[in-house]
Amino acid sequence: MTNKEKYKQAFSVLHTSEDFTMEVEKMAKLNNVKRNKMLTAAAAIALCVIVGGSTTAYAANLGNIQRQIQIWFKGDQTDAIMNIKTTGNTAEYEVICEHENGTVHSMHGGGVALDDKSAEARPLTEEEIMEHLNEPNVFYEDDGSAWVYFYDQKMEITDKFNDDGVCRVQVQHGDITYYMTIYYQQGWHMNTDKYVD
Amino acid sequence: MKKDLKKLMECYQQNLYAVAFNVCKSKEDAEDAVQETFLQYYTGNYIFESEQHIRAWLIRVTINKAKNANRTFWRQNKMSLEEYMETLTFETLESEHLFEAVMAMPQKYRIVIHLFYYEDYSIKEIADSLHISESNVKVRLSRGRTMLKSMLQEEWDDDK
Repeated sequence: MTNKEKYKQAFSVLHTSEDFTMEVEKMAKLNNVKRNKMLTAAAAIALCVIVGGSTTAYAANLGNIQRQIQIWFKGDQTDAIMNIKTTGNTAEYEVICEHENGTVHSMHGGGVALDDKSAEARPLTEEEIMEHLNEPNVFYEDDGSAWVYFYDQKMEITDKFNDDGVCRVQVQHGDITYYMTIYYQQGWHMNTDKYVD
Repeated sequence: MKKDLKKLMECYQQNLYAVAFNVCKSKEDAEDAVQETFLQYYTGNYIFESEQHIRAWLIRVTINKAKNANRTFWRQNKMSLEEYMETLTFETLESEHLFEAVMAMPQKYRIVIHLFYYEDYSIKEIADSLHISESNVKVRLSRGRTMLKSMLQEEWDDDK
């Protein structure tokens, strides 16, 4: 008997429970309802608020603008269209880009920035939004793998989470190093000096 | 191409369960990983080029979902590996020893060994599936074999 035959014989003892197939079929029927709920939750967390000491000048009458920009998306530099809508002291943005594999992606976000001196809230500027878009990003792929992307770098982190579902990685671009603490599918913290929990 | 879910389960359910169990060493987590994989296949908008493509996708997704199950905090109070093994009926004592030996190996060697010996995957296919280099696969395979040989002695042949 070859090693392969021995191995297959040993592992042929593994079988799913008797009601496994029925369970999957039942869950498949229920799944559409669950997916709709998840999409609503994802939309609710898409809004991000950036509070920081920016001194960038801001044009108060920015209104609605559209820009053709270049962003790094999943390790590839790609053309994108950015729409910014300003309402009161909040700026919302939408970025639409086409990945090189042909899929179209859209990213949404926005929020306010607090002015350094007056501490008054104001909408994010175009530059601040671009800065935010160029920060490291974490993606969970359909195949269950997890990745960190930063400019042209991509790092698989699927196996780097500890038992508590926390992963710490550093990414670097030029002089800047980001220390990222990533909570499995629950967001991440990053800092340019140290890991923050 | 996209196959009917029922047919897909008939074809791959047991193999995927074996792969998932190999990663997470838990009956419940392995079944959850396989269930989630089938559900993702069912609900996702995937187009596959061939049967081989479907199989590779299912195995890759199952492995990742089983790895994810390893880090969920509600894993407690599940059947231990020892308890589960008592429910299994091995054909021979050698099979039981081999199963135990594989389960005693670290996960990164276990999964490479499983894909090679159970799924008949090539080095390249293992590398693609695990997102690691072919040379890394060769190293893991070689170390895995050495571990098995040292644990099983004459019950495991030297692979060329």
